[in-house]
Amino acid sequence: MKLKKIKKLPVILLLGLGHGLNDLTAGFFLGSLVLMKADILQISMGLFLYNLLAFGGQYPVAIFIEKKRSLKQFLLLSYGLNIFAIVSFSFMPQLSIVLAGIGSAIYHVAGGTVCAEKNKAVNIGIFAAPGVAGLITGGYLAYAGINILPALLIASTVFFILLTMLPFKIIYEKDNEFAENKKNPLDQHDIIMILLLTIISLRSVIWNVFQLMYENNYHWLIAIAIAAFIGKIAGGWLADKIGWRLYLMISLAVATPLVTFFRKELLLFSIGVGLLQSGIPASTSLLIHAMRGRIQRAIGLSFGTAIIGGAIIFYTPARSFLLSNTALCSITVIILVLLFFVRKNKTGVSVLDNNN
Amino acid sequence: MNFTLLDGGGAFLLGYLIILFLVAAIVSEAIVMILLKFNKAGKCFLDALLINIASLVAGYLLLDPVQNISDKFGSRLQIFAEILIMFLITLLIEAGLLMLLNKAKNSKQVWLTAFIMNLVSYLILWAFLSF
Repeated sequence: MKLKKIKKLPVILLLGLGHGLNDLTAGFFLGSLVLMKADILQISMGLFLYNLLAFGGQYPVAIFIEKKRSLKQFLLLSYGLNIFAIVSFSFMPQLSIVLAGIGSAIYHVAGGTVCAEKNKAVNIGIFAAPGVAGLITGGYLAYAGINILPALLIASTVFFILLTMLPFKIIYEKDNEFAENKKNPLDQHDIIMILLLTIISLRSVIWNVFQLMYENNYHWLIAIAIAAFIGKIAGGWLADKIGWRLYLMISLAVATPLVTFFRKELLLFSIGVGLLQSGIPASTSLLIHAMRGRIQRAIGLSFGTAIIGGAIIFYTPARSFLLSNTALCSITVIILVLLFFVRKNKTGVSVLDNNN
Repeated sequence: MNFTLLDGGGAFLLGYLIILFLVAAIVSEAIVMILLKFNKAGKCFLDALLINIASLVAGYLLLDPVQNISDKFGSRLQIFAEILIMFLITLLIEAGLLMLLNKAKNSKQVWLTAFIMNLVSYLILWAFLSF
């Protein structure tokens, strides 16, 4: 499947900006929801439902988008939902949470697909980087009691208009890749490994974010957001240079001691978080490569399913064990071993290096 | 805390119980569809996943209105009123979505399937709440 007629960098930057705005809106909604004088059940249900729709919804959305011809329509739809969510937030926040969740799932897959067209990790990084930053900023603004709804409405409307003015039609055409997929079924080990990697890369960050949110320590949260932002862009660029798999191994091996043994050292911890997050573009690129160019599904799995898979673990009694250094280090070792061994598919051709 | 009920919702079960119930509802409804030879197994599971997420969303949005209505029934009948209202809403949503997802099926078969699978999942929900 190929996209055509795309001016790359300006579009990627624009979509990255849109990603940040999308997540800023979500962060503000979720932060406001927590601070509302609502039933604890309403709040927990709202948070759960948003995550289910925004992250869990990405794979079904990817399957749907795959069948359609224009990604631009989906980008417009996602921002249309966002605008409607912002308008309705003041008098019906529950509806806003649902709309924002659906809109977010669509935006991640559609926007991510455009940016990942040539499967360059740096482009994926540019698209992904503003996400966490937007989410944390939105949460902080809600926590600080600053009403940004009017600003969000204006910004989202402007962005919607910009999307309509994009000077190209995003169309993809079918080629022989699907036929090839049927002849060479996906190597399940590769997928499982990459998903595990994505989950573990994000798990630590998600946990820390939640822990810190309870403490309302926004100095740390902002540091984490900056580290994640830089990490994703720099990591994507570096991974394209030295190889996705190699970069993942190095970044994970360096990051793990920093986020485990230096949890109370802001600078070292932030570097660790940045390194962990920097693996996301590379792991997404690997997934797209392993899935033989099924970009939408790979994006849905990497940005959505894998994340919610990791988050769900924290709803289980295993939560306390997973938070320990022992568990984190053990999982890292398992991933590194998997990365080392799961190198070639049955035909002997490497599916995990970008320089083949 | 006021416990309103919704299929796939289990919207009012806290923490990991929500996820456990959601999984239980999806699996049980898919199994019912398979037993009734509604579709192939994979399609049944996919349909069950989608309709349960939809009914969960509806439950979340209708939380307040349903509680307001059920309040009028008095404390003894309130829980039964909530269950009944939510059951009917769930049935409407899930049957409607099943029809959309399976346009070739006749409506009687869809309604019957939706009714039976929701009976099963509400029994599970009742067990969850009793536990």
